[in-house]
Amino acid sequence: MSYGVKMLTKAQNRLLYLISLYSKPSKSENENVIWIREMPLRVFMHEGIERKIFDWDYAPASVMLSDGRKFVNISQEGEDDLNDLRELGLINALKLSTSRYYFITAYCITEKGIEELNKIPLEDRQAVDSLVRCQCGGLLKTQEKDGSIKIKCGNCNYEKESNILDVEDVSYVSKPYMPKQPNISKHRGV
Amino acid sequence: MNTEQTQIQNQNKQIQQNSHVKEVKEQGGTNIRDELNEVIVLKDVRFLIGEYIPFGCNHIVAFNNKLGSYMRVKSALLTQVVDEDPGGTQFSIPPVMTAVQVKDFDPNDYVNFDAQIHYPEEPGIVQIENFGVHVSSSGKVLYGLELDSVAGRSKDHVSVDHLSRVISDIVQDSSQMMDTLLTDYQRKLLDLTYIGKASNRDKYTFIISSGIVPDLKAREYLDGEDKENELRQVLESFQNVHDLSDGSKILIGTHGTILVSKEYKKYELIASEYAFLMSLDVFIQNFFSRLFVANDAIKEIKRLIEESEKEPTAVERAQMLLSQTTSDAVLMGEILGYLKESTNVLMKEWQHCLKEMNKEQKELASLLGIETRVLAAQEQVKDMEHIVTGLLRSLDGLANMNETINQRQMRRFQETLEENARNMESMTKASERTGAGVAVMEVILSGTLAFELIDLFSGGKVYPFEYGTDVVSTLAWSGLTVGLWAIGSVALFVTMKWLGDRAEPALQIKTKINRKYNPEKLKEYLEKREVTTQDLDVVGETSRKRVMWKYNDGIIWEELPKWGKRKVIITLTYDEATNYLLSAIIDVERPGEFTTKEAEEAFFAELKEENVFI
Repeated sequence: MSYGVKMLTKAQNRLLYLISLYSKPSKSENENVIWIREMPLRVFMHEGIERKIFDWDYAPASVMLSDGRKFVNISQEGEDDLNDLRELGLINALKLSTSRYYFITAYCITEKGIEELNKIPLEDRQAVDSLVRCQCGGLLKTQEKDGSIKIKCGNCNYEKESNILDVEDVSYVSKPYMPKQPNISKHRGV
Repeated sequence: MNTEQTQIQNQNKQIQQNSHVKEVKEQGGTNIRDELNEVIVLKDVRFLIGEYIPFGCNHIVAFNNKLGSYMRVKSALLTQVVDEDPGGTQFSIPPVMTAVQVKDFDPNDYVNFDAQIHYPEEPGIVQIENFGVHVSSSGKVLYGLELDSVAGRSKDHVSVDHLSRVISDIVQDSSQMMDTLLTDYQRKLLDLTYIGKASNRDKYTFIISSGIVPDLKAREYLDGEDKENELRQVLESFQNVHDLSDGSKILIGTHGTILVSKEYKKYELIASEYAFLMSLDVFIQNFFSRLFVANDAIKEIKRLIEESEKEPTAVERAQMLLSQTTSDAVLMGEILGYLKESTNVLMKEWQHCLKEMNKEQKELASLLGIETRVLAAQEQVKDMEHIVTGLLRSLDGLANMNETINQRQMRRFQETLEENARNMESMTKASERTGAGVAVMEVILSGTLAFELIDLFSGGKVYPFEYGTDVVSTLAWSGLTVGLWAIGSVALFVTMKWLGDRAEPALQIKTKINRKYNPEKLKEYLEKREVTTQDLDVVGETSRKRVMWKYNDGIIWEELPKWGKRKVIITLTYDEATNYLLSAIIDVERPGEFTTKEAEEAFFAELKEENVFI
């Protein structure tokens, strides 16, 4: 269901507000732009799905993390909404290479996006606040360490492990399948 | 056991297995926490997962040997466990094994086998994971499986949500299975390419389905909403979609491809080639990134060499990094050799396949752009050859720079050594002079002492004899006095020498050990001893600890089993980082108490008794 100004969906409104809490465009040349990396954003998006704040589903996808490639629960609907927000000019995406030889994307709300924030219903803001604010009022952060991703509060000692790396299993029965391969051998020639 | 009994047992086993399969098909569970919004369902799904692993002729021979391809019974169970005690009688391992059955092979070229994986899963999850594997000497590795049921549903109702989870499972389990079959060298090459994370390496999936619900025109799946999002779970980003002339559909993604065709058999060869080609691309991308890692290492070596005057450990670190990077660059050159051969074989294979293709097959091949991709892969390999050659040249240059720095440091070290030797010589001369002075002082001191004693016993008289001052008495008195002085001096010299000898141990045994130890047992061993001093030297990757303890120090009545009442000081040096006992010094205080052999044997027997050695 679409509602709100600019025909943003409820999930898009919430996603925009979530990004606004972790990013800030610069107002002058001397001021730095604050960006949120894609992985922390994905962690909060996944956490939001589990807590029914985002009405998306997710599936495992192989992505690069700071300590190597891993299967991560990623919501394609969420990624799609991110692209929609980019197309509407409400957020900017920055591609940057890391010191660990892979590329990441980071997001930042635009001035246009900030204007849109005023139109986001209080209910959506509260839902996102309940997701990213610690009980002490601090903004939660994520940290990749020792093969896990932790959600932490900078103000108090609150810490929990994200389920984003916990890829779910399904039962299945399979049988071998192998098509006939070309009868070519580098030893026998073509 | 006769043949009939064996047949009955096999039949029973088959019946049990079939009933288990039936149960999983009907009740197969999931642990999915989310409520899935299923938009697309595939029918009769089979898929091929491809990957590139550097293989050569020798590797495929070894691979066939490991699989038991030459044996009469062409099936075996495989495990990742390494036998640490091959000389022993029994061993026990967890029941995590892979059953393989060789179907077809050429000793020098390829092998096709079926694998059944038995890895532990969470409660409620039952996976009967059977897949076919094709491995060829060109590095082509394909894992293929046909789904019978997923999450308790039949093969005609496979949701893409579930399929994405099955694929992630197969991608991970196939890596684990292959690790048990590859040689150490191949594992090393994979670890190098994937920067130590080869077990999580990525693969490309080609899904073949005989039907899709909803059945739409290929372009209609790109709705930018639910359908596209659902398919992206297995394809990642869409590259292209097409309807083929025979009514089949192809949906091409960056991470997977779906072919929906009722006559899929005619496209199987193309699917295999494409799955491998795309996985080769994944490998090349990772390898290309790895070149940057090596390039950065070169920059770091250069920086360390330049900073060698400022950073005390710079030269040592530069040498270690140089040695590691050179070894990596040599291996990269070898990987490129395998890649080059593989792309050439792939091109030949493809040219050969094209000749036998019909119009529809050529249409799909053209849509997938296979030939262009093979050519691109060949070009990429050529390009990377230049980079690796450049890396090796840079490393040669850095090795020369490092050698120059080493020589410079060696010259300085030699000059310092010469300076020290000169200083030592001056100090020895000064010490000899001081020693002579001290000896004179000792003689004077002993004289003073002798005179004091005479004075004490004579009651302070100048001449203690009654008859005064005759010459004989004077001479006798003088002789006695000087005699006492001489005796006192000799006694003092002997005492000083005895004390000096006591300060030096009578026997010192320095022994190299260089054996692996059990940290827990060493800790227990040391806790039983009164360690008096401990030193720790941490240099680079090593952490050398030196501990010293004494036996029978001040407790003369105690008699130790190995040492008796002898006074012994032991200094043990070991590396905490590598768990190696490096050396020991055994000081025996009194001469003649122990022979070198006895002391060494006593110490080693003690370590063995306490199971310190592994």
